[in-house]
Amino acid sequence: MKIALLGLSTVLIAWGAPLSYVKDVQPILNKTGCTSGPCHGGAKGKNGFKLSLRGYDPEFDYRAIVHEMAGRRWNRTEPAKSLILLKPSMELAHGGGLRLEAGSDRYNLILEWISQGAPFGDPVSGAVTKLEVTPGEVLVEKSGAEQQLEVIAHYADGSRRDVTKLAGYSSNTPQNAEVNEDGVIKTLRTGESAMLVRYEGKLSVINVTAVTDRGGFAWKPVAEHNYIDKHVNAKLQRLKILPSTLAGDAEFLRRVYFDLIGIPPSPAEAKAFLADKAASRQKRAAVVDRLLERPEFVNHWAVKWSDLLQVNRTKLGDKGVWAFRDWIRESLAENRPYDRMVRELLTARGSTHRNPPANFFRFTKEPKVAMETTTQLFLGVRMVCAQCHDHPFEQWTQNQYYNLTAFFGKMAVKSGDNPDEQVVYDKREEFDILHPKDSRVMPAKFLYDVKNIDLREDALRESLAAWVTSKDNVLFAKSLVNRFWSYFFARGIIDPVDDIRASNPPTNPALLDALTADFREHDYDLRHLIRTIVNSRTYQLSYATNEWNESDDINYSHFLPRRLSSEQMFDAIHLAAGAKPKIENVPDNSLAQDIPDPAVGKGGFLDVFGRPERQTSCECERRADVSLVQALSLLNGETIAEAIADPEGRISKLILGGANDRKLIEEIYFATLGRSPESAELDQALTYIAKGAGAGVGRAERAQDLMWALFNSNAFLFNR
Amino acid sequence: MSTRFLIHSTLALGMATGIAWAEPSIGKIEPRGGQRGKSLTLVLKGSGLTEGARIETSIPGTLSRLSPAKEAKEGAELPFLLELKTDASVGLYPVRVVTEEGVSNVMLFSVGAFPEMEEKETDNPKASNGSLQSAEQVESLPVTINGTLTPADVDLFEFAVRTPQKLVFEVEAASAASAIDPAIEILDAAGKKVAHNDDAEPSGIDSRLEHAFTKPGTYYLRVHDSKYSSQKDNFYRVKVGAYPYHEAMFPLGGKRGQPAAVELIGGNLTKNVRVDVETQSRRRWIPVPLDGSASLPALFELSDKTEAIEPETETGVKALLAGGVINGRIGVKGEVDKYRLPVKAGEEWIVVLTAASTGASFLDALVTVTDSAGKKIESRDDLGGSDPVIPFTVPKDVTEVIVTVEDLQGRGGPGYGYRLEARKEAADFEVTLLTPYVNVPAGGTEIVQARIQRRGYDGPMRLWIENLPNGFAQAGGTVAPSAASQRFDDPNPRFGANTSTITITAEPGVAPQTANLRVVAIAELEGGGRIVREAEGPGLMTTVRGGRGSTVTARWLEMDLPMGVDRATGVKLASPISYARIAQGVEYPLTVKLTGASMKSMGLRQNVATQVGNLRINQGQESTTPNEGTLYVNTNFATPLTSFDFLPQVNVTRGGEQVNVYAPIITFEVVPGYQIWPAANQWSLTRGGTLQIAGNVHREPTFEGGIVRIEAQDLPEGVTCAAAEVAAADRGFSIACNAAADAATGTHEVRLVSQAPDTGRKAKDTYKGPEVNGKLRVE
Repeated sequence: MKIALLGLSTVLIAWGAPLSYVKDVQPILNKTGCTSGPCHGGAKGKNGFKLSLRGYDPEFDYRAIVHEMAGRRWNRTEPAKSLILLKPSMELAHGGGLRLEAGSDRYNLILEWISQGAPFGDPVSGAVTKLEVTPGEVLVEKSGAEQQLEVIAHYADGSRRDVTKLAGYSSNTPQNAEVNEDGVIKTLRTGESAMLVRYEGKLSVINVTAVTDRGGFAWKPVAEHNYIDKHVNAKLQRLKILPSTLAGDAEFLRRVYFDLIGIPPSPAEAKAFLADKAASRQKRAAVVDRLLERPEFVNHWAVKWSDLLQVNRTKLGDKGVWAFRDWIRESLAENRPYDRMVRELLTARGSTHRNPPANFFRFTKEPKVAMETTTQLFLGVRMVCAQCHDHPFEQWTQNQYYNLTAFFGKMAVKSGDNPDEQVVYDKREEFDILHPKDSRVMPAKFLYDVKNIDLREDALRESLAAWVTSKDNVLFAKSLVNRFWSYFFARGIIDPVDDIRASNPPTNPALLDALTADFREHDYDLRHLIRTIVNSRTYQLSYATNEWNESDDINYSHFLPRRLSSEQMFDAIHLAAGAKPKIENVPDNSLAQDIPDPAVGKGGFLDVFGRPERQTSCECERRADVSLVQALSLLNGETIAEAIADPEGRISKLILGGANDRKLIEEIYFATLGRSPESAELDQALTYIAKGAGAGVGRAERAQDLMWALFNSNAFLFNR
Repeated sequence: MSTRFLIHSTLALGMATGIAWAEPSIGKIEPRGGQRGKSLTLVLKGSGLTEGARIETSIPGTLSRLSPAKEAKEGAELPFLLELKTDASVGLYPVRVVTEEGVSNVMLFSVGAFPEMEEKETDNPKASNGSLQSAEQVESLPVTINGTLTPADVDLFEFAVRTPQKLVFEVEAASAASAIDPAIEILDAAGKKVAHNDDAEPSGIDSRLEHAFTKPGTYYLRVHDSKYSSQKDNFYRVKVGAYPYHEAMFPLGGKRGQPAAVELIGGNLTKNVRVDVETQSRRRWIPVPLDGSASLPALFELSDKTEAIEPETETGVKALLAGGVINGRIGVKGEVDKYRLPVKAGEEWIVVLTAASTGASFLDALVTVTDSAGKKIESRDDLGGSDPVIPFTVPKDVTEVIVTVEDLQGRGGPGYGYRLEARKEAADFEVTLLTPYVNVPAGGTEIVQARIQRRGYDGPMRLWIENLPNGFAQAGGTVAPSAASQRFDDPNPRFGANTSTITITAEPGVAPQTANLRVVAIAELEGGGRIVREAEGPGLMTTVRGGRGSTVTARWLEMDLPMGVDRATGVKLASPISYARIAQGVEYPLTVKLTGASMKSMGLRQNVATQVGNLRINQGQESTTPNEGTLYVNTNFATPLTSFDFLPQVNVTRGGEQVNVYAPIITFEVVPGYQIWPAANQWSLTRGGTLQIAGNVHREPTFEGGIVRIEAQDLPEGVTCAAAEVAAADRGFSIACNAAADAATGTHEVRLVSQAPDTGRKAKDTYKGPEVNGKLRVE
């Protein structure tokens, strides 16, 4: 008996032992790239030969190889003359180049399989049920260190096989650590990476941590305000990263105002806070409590939810925009539990004007979009790839895509009696969701089991809402806390926040789990979550780095400055300048955070600074980039120019009120940056203002220049 | 000076001086309402409100003329002293002005139950009441506040609640023909919202809420437009007080002259309230007041048909009255009412349900017609409006259909009433006037427009004024069949909508007068018979700006089409023809002349031909004749054989105001370029014999084709016919046919087909004339 050894495999394939397409051949086609997107796995295949993407549909691929072209792709009488071997071995011209060396183990296995009559095999017993990867975690302290992974596939029939040479590997941070096609990891620099191991639809992720060049590091114990600090510090200590010091009161106050209510503290508020002699931690907690009760808290967070829920009049109509936005505000104002909010959205019926949550179905409109939006928004799961094929980086299959879509099959939207009104109702017929491949009716099925949740055929959307919002559906809480975390730390613990999958692991799983558990234990109380985050010492760290954390931007060892959002910047400019915002089609004295949708002020300042169009529910629509147009707008745009020179504005009032130069400068600094000028800043400003008196330029104009200069500084433009 | 005609555009026109358009127009009515039993000064503001004006109104009270304010421009205002009766019903009452120059638009005056208060900001924009600090004080309750909303305006009113109590806040805006879509909020002393409402149930866009104030104190009423939009007609009235109100009613209608009792349902009523309705009225809708309420009354529909109440206690399938009306309701959530209707196969029926459109029912009806075995024949939830209409043909072997009624959203309850009727009719349509009133200038022309909503009928129609007085002429009103639009993407042409226009032209010396015109649409059915539907007048029309635009109307005023005569303008637009035949493929030059005004330029607009496919109106040539121009109506060989209207229009500017001047509509009929007229349509031939099929070719004078070649097709076996050719100058044709000795005997359907290969067009297109069918008997 001949024995063939598959690379490092510890499982021997016996020559003459029965082979199957499912268990033996398909892994080779996947590993050699035949089923990849650019090759035969693409939407149209290549050169008339189409395989399913990454082999997600073995039956389809088997038919293509064995039955298509009248069976000319294989030759049982002369197996070596099979096209399936001649092309990848380049014995015949092959656009994809050499993929299978003639005489190699993989070549010989396929040859043997053809000799055996090219059997398909049993897809049930041949299915991979589990991947076992060792080691489960990699921690190295030396740059350039290597580690070989070993991958064992467990099959439904109970057998096991070493598939190290056939598995696929990729690194999510190749600049930190890379992995080659044989599963050898090489660390390149200090940092973390996740290695994704794929084999026959199963995935496993190995975390790789490299802690290098940390000589002289010594952990300094720091105070922990709550469990967040415990989990963050544990990670930092492990990675030998020292957190920054606590931010000063002024730095904290400006930060927490922008993050909680979207606007900066007024000079009076800032002065009062700084003058408060209470212990810093206590007075910070007190201001957080006050901010959570401010109407601007509701307005600011309504902007975020309006982005996600696509509050946009091109989709919702003129009245729908206001109705839906007001429902969001109402929910936030009463701190409606998050699960109730989502249930109201998913089960909404009736008029989009009388029952505003029904607007959810006005922008999702059809079942597939409703399902994709629901999973992405409320579970952080992107199902869109599975519409056409099984998800390449996740466990979700095409069948699951349509099973889940079936929950929305009956949902329909029609015009209402009033202008712009639409009505959401349940269809009585023609509501079946059909599989695109064979038109079979796809029954509604949950994506995964959640205990104590029943599926009621007569109340599909109610069943889905119960499943989504169940406390036992961990993704519901996890996706929300992860999303909210990103609002305070510039990135999610899992990032992007709406792409939770095994191949995109969290940077701090323990922290994410703790936040998730806390959110569930507090009955999905959004204010509790926010309060917990901003009261943590981690949130209150300075943005200034030290030698041990300067390269860290994923472990929350220091605050990451964020450019103010378009609304924050617009409102901060007007509030600092004491100018009345000129916004059309909204009530008098409205701020940008009061604008219901992007149709208001379209094409202006807000759009320049990245206000989203609200065409999708992706956080990515809101841009935080920096551009030349933004720079020009800040330097000589009319928004700033008109605000600082407002006749009823702060500077005019200060001058008319008899403020001296020092008072003028101090007020301008507090209004723009939430702090008093430092000594050097004060001297410089005093010199500049004083020049005005003798140069024929008024003090007011000099003061306007100072405010303009501060508006153009990073200290103003960034929340830090 | 040459004149250039433009299509689809309107251009300014320099007019001769001395022409006045002074038809009356009411722009504003101050105040918008009054408390019953009180006296007030009512001022109508607008233009053309001259000294001799007569006011037409049903306001329950007396009106005495007062002198206009000295500073008022002539005709700009008309003041009255109004004394409202103490027993006047709460409601909306129309006001119209009639002068020598015509009739005005209608505005609504509201009679209320509470003392009235005017918002100060309305007359003094600086008296802003947009914040808690500047909120306007309400001295006492109950009250009716009259206010206006400027663009993005917010009005706040401060009021005191002295003891725990429930108060109703109810806005009249859209219901009183304002373009405002109101929303209201109640704020506590700190400005925190404690209650709000945008659209009161069951329908409409006005707001209403009842709030239980548990703590005495200061509160605020916040009023704004739900879209913060900018509207010309921007008024609202808010009633604040403790009073009962209802939301729905059952039944929704009954038979004229028969005693009827109505249940008022929902709202803040703790139990349904029974009201006896006076049904001895000629009107279609009569108000059903609720004792002690400040709300507008519900409207009960009277009909002359047999009316019945659904036996709600009866389970199973109930009988549906053919030709009558069943008043039913979906009494509980998820209920499905079923009715049995005896029918015969091939019959055409129409089922009409009325519910949400009455404003007194929550029902969003879904009606389904099945056979008795449950096989669906047709199902609809609405059609161009709120309620469903279902025309259907009874399938073969079906002798009974089941009509089911349910709420589309699966709801139900006492307020889910409906009126259901089934009529044995082929098809139907509904006509609504888009013109609330018309003033025709002596010697001039005005237009009347109507919207036709098809309900299964897809053929041609004509709009017609039945009672046009002497001295006036009407033209147009043509509605082409649905197929003429040649819109192949139209999913259901039997349920499309068309707009049609009639022009009314007054003789130059016509006397000042008013009339109430009755407009009907008439469809002549192919198999004989006709459908005649009377157009429903909008009463008034308020344009709502923003969004996709919409209009507020008041159908319940039951006005037909009031007409007045305006002073002669001296400006006239005319064409020498009122009707023309156009052969398919022909370009027809239409000359139009403007008199009574010197002009720099003018525009013409065709706005009716859009109903017809393969039709173009081309820009005319430059004319050397002042005030005259030509435009070209272009057809091609695919233009459908139908009639359509063309409306020439000039838009002129005088003193900054734009005025439309119309010519009487010209109706075009598209006809074939030529037709074959055989002497007979039945021919006989014996085996071995010959036959001459003779006839004439009738050519339209404008048809440019040369030879017409005619041949017989679908001939029986053994029969041959030679083709005939008819030269352009000739008419007669003769086709020689022979039958073989063994030719197939019997009577056979044959066709005479023809074509004109050379049509004189550059492209040398071949024109195919209409086929003629005949019968050939071979013996």
